[in-house]
Amino acid sequence: MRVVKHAFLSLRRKPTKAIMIFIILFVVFGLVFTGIIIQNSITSSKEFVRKELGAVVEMKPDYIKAMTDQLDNKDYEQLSLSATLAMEIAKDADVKQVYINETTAVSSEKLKSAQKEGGNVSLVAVGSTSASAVAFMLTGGNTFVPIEFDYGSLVLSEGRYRTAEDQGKDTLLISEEFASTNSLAIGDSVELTSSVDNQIYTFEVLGIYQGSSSNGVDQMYTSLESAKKLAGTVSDDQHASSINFALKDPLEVDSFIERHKVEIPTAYIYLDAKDTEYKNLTRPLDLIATITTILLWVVFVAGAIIMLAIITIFVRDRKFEIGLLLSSGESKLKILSQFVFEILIVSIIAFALAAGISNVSSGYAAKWIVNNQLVEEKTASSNQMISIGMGQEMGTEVNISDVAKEFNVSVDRGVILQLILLSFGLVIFSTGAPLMIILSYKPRESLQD
Amino acid sequence: MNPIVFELDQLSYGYIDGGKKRMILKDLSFQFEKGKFYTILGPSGSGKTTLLALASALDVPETGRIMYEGKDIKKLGYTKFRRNKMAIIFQKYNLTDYLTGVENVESNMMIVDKKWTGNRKETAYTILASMGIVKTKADRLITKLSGGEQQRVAIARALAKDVDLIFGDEPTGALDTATSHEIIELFKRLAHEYGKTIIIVTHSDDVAQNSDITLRLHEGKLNIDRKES
Repeated sequence: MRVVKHAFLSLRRKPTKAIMIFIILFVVFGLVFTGIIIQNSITSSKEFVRKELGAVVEMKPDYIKAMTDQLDNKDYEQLSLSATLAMEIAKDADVKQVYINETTAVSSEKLKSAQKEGGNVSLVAVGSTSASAVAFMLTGGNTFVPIEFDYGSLVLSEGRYRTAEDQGKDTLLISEEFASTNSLAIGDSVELTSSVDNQIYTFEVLGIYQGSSSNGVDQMYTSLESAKKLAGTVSDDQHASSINFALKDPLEVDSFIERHKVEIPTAYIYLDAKDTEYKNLTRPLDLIATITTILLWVVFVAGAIIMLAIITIFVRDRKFEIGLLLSSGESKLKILSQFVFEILIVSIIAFALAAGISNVSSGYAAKWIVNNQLVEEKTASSNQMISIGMGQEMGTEVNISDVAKEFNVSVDRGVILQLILLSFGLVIFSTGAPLMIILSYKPRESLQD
Repeated sequence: MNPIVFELDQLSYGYIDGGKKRMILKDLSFQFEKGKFYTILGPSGSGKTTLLALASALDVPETGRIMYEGKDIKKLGYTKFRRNKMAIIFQKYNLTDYLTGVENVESNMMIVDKKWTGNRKETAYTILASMGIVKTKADRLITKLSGGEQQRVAIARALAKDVDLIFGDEPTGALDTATSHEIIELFKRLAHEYGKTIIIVTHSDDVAQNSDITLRLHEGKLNIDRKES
């Protein structure tokens, strides 16, 4: 009762030092909060980039290294992607789905290419029995929904994906253009010739998609089993054309690669997380984050030291009052509580005002960052493409403009909790030691000073 | 003879002066009776204030014991002893500067463990009124009162604790003669009518003459100088 009453009376009637503490805390909190909010926004933006780039990690052959090392033909085996290893890695709890694809060239005498002039040139069927046969790319995947539909720009516009009921059947997903060129509809049959043994297989059109894959509109999708059948690799579980791991959390990409790169037995296969693109896009953000972190710590430490000095003066200035209370038999803990309570009241007011103002000021700071840093960097970066498999690309694009658009100041519960903890830490750090001096005071000495 | 309420037993205390230890109190012993008004005289530097600081547990003796109602105050707990068994009035009107007169008095009432019956603030006003501090003055910040008024508040603050043992370090030093006499009369009344033990350190012969027993501190020992028959 006395502690609370006297704390309020002291603050009201002798406000000079309390105002000094308030100003310091307000300025320090304000700057630190602005820094934290901007950092949080930067983290969100980086997460946005990471998410936009996708949580897909590709197991890729390193052809450049192979060429640089001038590998012998027999050693090119080291560039083969192992489906067995992929399945082993896919046991990781962070993996949502592993996409194992087999891509093979097929041909048909009856089908025409849907490629427009000036676009991808239609392939001529090499090794086909007929000179008039046109070649197409057939990709078979281990999943019902191919990765290009899950993470790329292809959208099923008609029909359906494969299901468990289609097990053992040869089914196809074809593009709208291909369907239109060849007058194909859902349920129609298509004959495709294997480029390995020239055997003809009949496929049922199950779905028609919108969009263009990197292989053009002639690209067809089927099951892994069907593709392997046509590629002549049915009995070979050790090889795949492309392997992709879709992770549950895009932010776990780096740790996932770190964990599993040691499992890859050859130096010519690597796990790619589109790091170059990510780093290019996040470089300006990292720079801002670094500067903000430095400023934040400078302000935090300087603020804590100033606070420490002021609180020391604050306590010393009231040594006589402490002596008087001690001589009356007041416990040191209660005296300490009164001082803590006073500083707490000032801190809470400073916190509330600083939090409110920082929310606004960080908005202005964010606008400045977007206008002066991100947008200016825009010209330095080009659109980044995510490649899936050999020679294939998926059309997801992320550029600085997207990042700038996404850069919003956000204050969520986590940030508020962070601000509270930080403020509490600052107050404890800067007031703890000077207030502890009270515990060392002796009544007679305090009264004599 | 009244029962012994407070006792100094073989107290010794010294400090380092010019590299040498100088003993101010040497095996000092004395027993104080309940309901008596004591004054302690002695020249400057004789150790009067130190003796008062030890007796009121503001400092700790090097050797010896201080007994309250037969119990060592060390065992009782110095803080608890200061809180519930004694009150002290200082030479400088030691008051909290951001509180009013009545709040200063109330402050001491809030510190003691005793539960107050009735309105604590009204009791504080009554005590202040008995010291000649009317309500309008009692409600003023302590810094707005004169030196004499502040000392009256300091005395009221000590009395408000309602304890049996009251120490004073030149409590009438800042008061005019008339007020000083009033306070001395009050101390006498507190001792004789209410059974309080009053121990005052003073330079004033006038105050000493009005006490029941005058003690003199000489060469670290406490001797009876005068005793009212």
